[in-house]
Amino acid sequence: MDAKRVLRAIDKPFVAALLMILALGLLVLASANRAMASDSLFYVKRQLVAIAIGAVCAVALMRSDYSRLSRYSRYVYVATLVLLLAVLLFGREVRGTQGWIGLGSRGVQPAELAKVMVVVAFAEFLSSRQGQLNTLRELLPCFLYVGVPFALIMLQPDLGTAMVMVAVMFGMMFVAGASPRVLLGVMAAGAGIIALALFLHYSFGTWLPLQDYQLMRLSVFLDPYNDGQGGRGAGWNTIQSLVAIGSGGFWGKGVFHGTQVQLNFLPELHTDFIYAVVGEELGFLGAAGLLVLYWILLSRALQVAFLSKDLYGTLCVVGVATIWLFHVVENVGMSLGVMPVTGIPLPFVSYGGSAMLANLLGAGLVLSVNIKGNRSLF
Amino acid sequence: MKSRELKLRLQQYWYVCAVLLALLLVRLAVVQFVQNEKYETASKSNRIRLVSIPAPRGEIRSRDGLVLAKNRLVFSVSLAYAEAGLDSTVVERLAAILGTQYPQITADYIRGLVEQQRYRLYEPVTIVRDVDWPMVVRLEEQRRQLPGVTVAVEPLRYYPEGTLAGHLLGYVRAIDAEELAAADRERYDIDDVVGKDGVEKTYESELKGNDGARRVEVDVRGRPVRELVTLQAEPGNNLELTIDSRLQRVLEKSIEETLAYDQQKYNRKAKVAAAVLLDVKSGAVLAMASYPAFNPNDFIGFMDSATEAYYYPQGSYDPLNPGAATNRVLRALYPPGSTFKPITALAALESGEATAEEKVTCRGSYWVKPYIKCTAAHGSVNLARAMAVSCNTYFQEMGRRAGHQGLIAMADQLGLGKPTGIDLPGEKAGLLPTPEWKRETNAVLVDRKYDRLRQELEDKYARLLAEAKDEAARAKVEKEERSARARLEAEYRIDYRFNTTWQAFDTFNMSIGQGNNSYTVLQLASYVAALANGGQRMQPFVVRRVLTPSGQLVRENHPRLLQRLEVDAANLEAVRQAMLQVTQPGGTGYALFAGFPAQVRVAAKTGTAQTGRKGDVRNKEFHGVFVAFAPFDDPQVAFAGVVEYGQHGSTSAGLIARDVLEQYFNIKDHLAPAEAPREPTGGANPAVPASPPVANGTGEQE
Repeated sequence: MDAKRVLRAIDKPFVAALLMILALGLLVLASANRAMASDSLFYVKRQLVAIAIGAVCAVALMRSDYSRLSRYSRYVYVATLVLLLAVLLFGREVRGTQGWIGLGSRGVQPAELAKVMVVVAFAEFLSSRQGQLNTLRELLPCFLYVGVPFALIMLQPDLGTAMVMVAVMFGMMFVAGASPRVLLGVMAAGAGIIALALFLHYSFGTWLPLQDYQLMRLSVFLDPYNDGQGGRGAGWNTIQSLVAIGSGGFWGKGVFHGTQVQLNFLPELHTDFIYAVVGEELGFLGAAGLLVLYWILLSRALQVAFLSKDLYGTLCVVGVATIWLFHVVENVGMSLGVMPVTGIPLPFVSYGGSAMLANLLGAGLVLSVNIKGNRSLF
Repeated sequence: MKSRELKLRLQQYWYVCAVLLALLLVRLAVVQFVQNEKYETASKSNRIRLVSIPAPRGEIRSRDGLVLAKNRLVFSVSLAYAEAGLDSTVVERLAAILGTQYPQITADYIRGLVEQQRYRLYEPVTIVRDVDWPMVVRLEEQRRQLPGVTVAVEPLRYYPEGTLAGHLLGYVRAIDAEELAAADRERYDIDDVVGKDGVEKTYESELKGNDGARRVEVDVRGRPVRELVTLQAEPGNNLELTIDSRLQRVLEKSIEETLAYDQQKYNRKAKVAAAVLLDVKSGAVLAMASYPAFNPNDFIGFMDSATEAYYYPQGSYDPLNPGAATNRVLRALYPPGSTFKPITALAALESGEATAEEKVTCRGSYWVKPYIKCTAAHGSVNLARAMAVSCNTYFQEMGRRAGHQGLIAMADQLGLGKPTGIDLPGEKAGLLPTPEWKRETNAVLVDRKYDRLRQELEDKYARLLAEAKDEAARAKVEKEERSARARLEAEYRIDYRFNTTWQAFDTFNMSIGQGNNSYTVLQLASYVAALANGGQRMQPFVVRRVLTPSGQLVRENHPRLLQRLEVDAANLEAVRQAMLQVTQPGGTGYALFAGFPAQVRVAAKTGTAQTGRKGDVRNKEFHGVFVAFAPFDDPQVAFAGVVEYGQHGSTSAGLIARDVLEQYFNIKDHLAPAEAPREPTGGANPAVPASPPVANGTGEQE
């Protein structure tokens, strides 16, 4: 297949949205960078390296036939588990989560890659069970299949990423044809169990996999000033993020001119709270624009999923799209004070090599399905 | 799976995406549009701090330009960025270094200061002011180990001349809660200093100035990043006093020397003196001093217990440690003694019952009860002679003729017993006794005494009644009781009438300045000035002009006439002439001014006052009082002074008057560098014997 045909087949709005998100991300990262480090391009440079590596991998993936991946799905799944086990055994702990492997600051976060790898493996697992996803009994293996990597990620513990796994599982199963009633039932049951566990914990002090301070951090977004320190404790991040976005107004304060950003009131401004940088410096124009770009990205991905020649391709794309959707909703929601604060990056925008690599691999997968799986071309 | 169902499911999935992203968009719009104002404000209060810039307090200068109060730049150590939390190792280290010199500074002390300022921690917390250079060097050497500790230069009040005019200047100190509550909150803050006494207090609003402010943008750690707006501080206005620094210096020096002399010669209790020199035409105070001396610098910073005991002695009054905080020129009351006599003379002449030339014969005591003694048998004396020798007999007779109403009215016209209204705080009114005053005061005393006696009587007869054996004895006791009661009530009526009614001897006492009369030194000076200038009582004042920092006139205190004496000019002249005789040969003040040139003739009056203090020997220990004005022919200045336990007016306060007048009229420069050891004589004229100045010791006690 020559470049000309690729160029004709490729979904241009998808690529355009992706490139614009990347560009916007680099711009606000540069601003965040200036507020944080003496080398005003330190994070930008490293992000560019990650994008370059990710782009090479994505192009390679795009040009390969995704359907060949399905044959290796079992190995991909095993490799995922090995990776997640390795990080538990040999990983480094950063801010309470044992999620890093590698030396110095140049480590990787296996959980980020694991998300995409689980999508690739689970898509094959589901497509081989096509038409047999109607009862709870038939669905149970699927839950177990995702349950193992989910449990390993929970052990780090990385609640945010683990929740991504759950979302991906439900999203892919729904598109794969699983009975909506059973899925809803399982979700309701899960919610019920969590509610019961919390009730028992607060009433009788029963055991929970989370410490009280972790629970506090998850619930404080509901009333950030009530964190026991008048908004200077667990609620600080939510408050400062809201102040940043809220004071941005329609036009924003201008790149490099956000006071919340430049005076360091905003925490984690290059990673978790980079959306607040967009909101403060670029205003509603930039922040809403970014949401629209994600909207285009997701819509086009779903179009690719629909046009895929096989269910495997469809599920791969849906899985990747679900990862992005969950990340955007959680990250932006957290910045706007409507979601609990968890360390979930904003796709293609937050600083972080592993996430960038995983997201670009995902994009490569979508484009591979787009090109190789487009029925209209064959 | 059929393509149709897949399409349906993907569509549903797409709806979910759309709804979720749309919800985020709505939330974003709410935060950025609806709540924009609230978060805009929050963003500003996050980063913008108002830091006040203290306005330098105005300077105080003497009439001749000597700076008496100014601001000195000192090093002060403070702790910045305390907002972001205290580093306990830094606090410990800082306490260890400062503690070598200031034992009261401990880590807990520093934490306490930070706690006090907990709502304004973006401003540095001042730990200690005015540290010396070696300490600054030590702190700078350890700068790396002391993050957040800053050594800054700031203005502190300073009185370069120390005790010179100290009482008059007053002092400043941190504003207290009461003053802050009463103060204008626009101008005063919790860490401000405020004038607590003297000119610093009276002219507080002029001296204070207006603090400026800086709007500073700070980062999340409270560190200033950039200045947004600066409102410059407006320095306070400067004051120019009416005080002449050279006269003031001579006055204080003379007081100190005189006290040393009197301590050695008469009484070691001679520790207190107060004196003032007025410009008779305007009422301006040219010099004013009270001893023991007052150094306003002592009130800056920590006051040690020895210094505190010097200013505010504890326990009952000890003449050997009288306390230095009081400006005794206007807050201590003294009986005027014979310095009252010119008033008696003027009242008598005004009554028309006497003339200046009329003679009264003194045989050593007055011929009316209670026959108050005179210092000598003066023989036949007219006004001039009586004044010169301070004859008690003559002035009692004059007092009798004028009548107490005449005396009181004259003293009142001359301002005795009421505040002069000088521009200094805490002035006392004094006491001019009147019949009304006597009735009110003594009625209470007499009633209290007889209530006690009645109770005793009742107790006594109740006891006798109980002891009585039979009815007859009881009847006898009851009869006795009735007559005793009647006797007591009769005594009470007599006693009451006697003690609450003005008696002839009250008039006699008043006419020679004894009894309950008590006035401030300033009142005496003011009344003498009124006699000197021909009958105009001017309001004394100490601040001449208020000037902006650049020297422009803000306002000027113009002389203010309080009262024009309603007396016959000839009578006034007769009294002035009589006062001149005091310094002429044969007068009680002759030796003091014998060396003065002919064009500077001095009119004066000596006085001796009973101390009235417990523990003093009555009729043995006296305060010396002295009033004077000069030159006689065209009066310029008036003097009044008291030296406690100075024994005679001429040998105590008179010496002070002589020195300061010598300086004023350039007769002798007391500030000349090669000063001969002090002799208690007029140094200008070698003809005056080098012995105590009152050659014949003309006593003037009654």
